[in-house]
This record gives sequence, C-alpha cells and structure tokens, in this order.
Amino acid sequence: MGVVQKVPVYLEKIPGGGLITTSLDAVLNWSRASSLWYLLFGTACCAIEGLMCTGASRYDYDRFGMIFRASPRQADLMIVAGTITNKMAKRVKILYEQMSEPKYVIAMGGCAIRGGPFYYDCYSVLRGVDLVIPVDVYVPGCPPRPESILEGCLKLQQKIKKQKVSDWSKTEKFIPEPK
Amino acid sequence: MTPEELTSKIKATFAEKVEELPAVTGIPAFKVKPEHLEEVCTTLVSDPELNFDNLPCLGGIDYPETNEIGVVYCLFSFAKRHHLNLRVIMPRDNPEVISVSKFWVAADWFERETAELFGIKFKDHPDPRPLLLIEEWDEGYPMRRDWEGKDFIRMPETGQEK
Ligand code: SF4
Repeated sequence: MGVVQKVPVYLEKIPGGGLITTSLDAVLNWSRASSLWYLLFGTACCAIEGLMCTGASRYDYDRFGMIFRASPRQADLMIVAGTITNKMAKRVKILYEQMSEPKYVIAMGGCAIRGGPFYYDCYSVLRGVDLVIPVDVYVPGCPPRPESILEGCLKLQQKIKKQKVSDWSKTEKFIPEPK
Repeated sequence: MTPEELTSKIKATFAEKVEELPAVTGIPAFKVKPEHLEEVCTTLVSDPELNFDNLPCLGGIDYPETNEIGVVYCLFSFAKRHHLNLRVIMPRDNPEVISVSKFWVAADWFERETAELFGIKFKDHPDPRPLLLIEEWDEGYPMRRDWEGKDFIRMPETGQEK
C-alpha cells in the first residue's frame, strides 16, 4: 500500500479487492522522482564528496532510489561535480545531449556554479556550467557536504513532482550555445 | 651520493659549462647554457656514478623583469638515490632548447605542455602537438606572467596580498 501513502488517490473497496483512481501526473511524477538515476561523472574534488562519499553507505543515495549509471543513455540526472574547464565544457554538453528526456542537472560546488576558486587569474576554467547546459538545482559549497547535496536532490524531487504531463510537449528547454 | 659529493662531482665533470645556483631544499641546482644541455644530459645519463635514470618533473619558468624565460629539469636517480635540478635560461623572444625526450621518455609530455603554456620551442621533439589547451586555442601562452586573454579576469587588488 506504499502507493496510497505517496500519491493522492481515491480508493474504493469492492468485494475481493479495491479500486484505485488517481491522476497520471501524480503516478508518473512519483515514479520519476523516486528513481533518479544519476550519471557517474565527476571532474574534480567535488566528485569525491558528491558521488563517492554520498554514494557510500553512510549517506547513501540508494535511499532515494538513486543509482549510478555509467552511461548517459540510462541516466536521468547529471550531477556536475567539479571544475569544468573550457575543454571539458564541450564534452559536458555532448554527455547532456546523449541523456534521454526527461533529464535534470544539479550543479554542485562553487566551480560548477561560477568557476569557484578559479574565477580570477585563470585561463582555462568555464565560469559556471549553466553557460553550456541548463541547470535545475544549485548546491553551493567547496565542496558541499553530503547533507547539502542530498538536500539538493530532495529539492529536485519536489520540482519534479510539480511537473505536468500536459507541459511535456511545451518543454522546449533552453540550451545555450557554447562559447 | 650525498648532495655535497654530487655538487663537487658535477663541478669536476662539467667545469665552466655549469654554474652553481643556491640549493633548494637540499637539492643541488645548476644553471646550464642551452647549447651545452645536450652534452650535459648525455653525461648525466651515461656516467655510471651519476646515472640519472629518471626525470620526475620538467617545467617552465618566466622572468619578465629580466626578459628571460627558462626550463627547469628535476632529475632523480633510482640506482644512486640522488636528486639534481638543472635550469636553462634563454632570452624571452623566441626561446629554443633541445628536447631531452631522447634521454628520458617522460620528458615527451612535459615538453609538450611547457611548449604550449610558455611558448618554448623544443628542437627535435618526436611529437610536437599541443597537449592540454582547447583545440582551437589562439591566445598565446597563458603561463607567461604578463599574459591576458579574452576571458581573463585579473584578481582585484585588496591590499592584503603581502
Ligand atoms: S567547488 Fe571546491 S571542492 Fe568542488 S570542485 Fe571546485 S574546488 Fe573542488
């Protein structure tokens, strides 16, 4: 009866069982938000914290149904964990485009948000991953603690739960041009 | 060999081809003219007492005040367990030095990196392609101290630097 507690339903008992009525939105969003498979993709120190430490048993992404995928084709979520250099930026965009819709992005750490410690005096670092791909949730920190990145994932789940099936055809996402 | 023995051995072997620099963290350091580098390296590798079989690090160094640019070679010998630093100083416009990748294979990528970031030419390099910067890079040599590129933002002065 887990479903009954998670999504709004109308439940009617009939002899030999029950009838459940609910909305397609609620069921789809609930299942999407609870199975955010993330791309195993880290480029710097944040990957230690965001993907390895948080993925290990003390913090544990699996509690939220998040399992790492080593291929963008199977991933719903890209956690941009680490410094993105100008050279990597193109590869990030390719990886993002290879992911199948619906796809979400969490920018983790100062580097992915705005260049972080490499904002000044640097010739090679992209100042913010949102210059190349659209970002849903920003998690600041250098690096963010695992609690913060889990909080970011919960925020993303809340965002997903507000989506509507009727918006799907309209969701033409803004994809910036690479510099 | 201890650093002192190594220093006197190098001085005895190369005489005026090398010039002693102050040792850093106990490692003897010498300045070599670019034209003597090939000969010095040949002896460093082949001499059974020196026997420098490893190049852990090679990098560039820029002195805009004196209009000079240099290459630093950090050498190590696994067999004899001693370290040595060499420094080659050249004029800043059109610096050119021989490639040492025929003595130490590790120098191949180090030299590609140094060539691309400092604009130092390595003669007879086996594979002189760029290594690290983006493919369409055309903004010069970013590790030179006076470099400024399109997207470069210099750190504002806060008055707390020193
Ligand atoms: S934000 Fe800090 S911890 Fe994260 S990748 Fe950048 S420098 Fe490393």
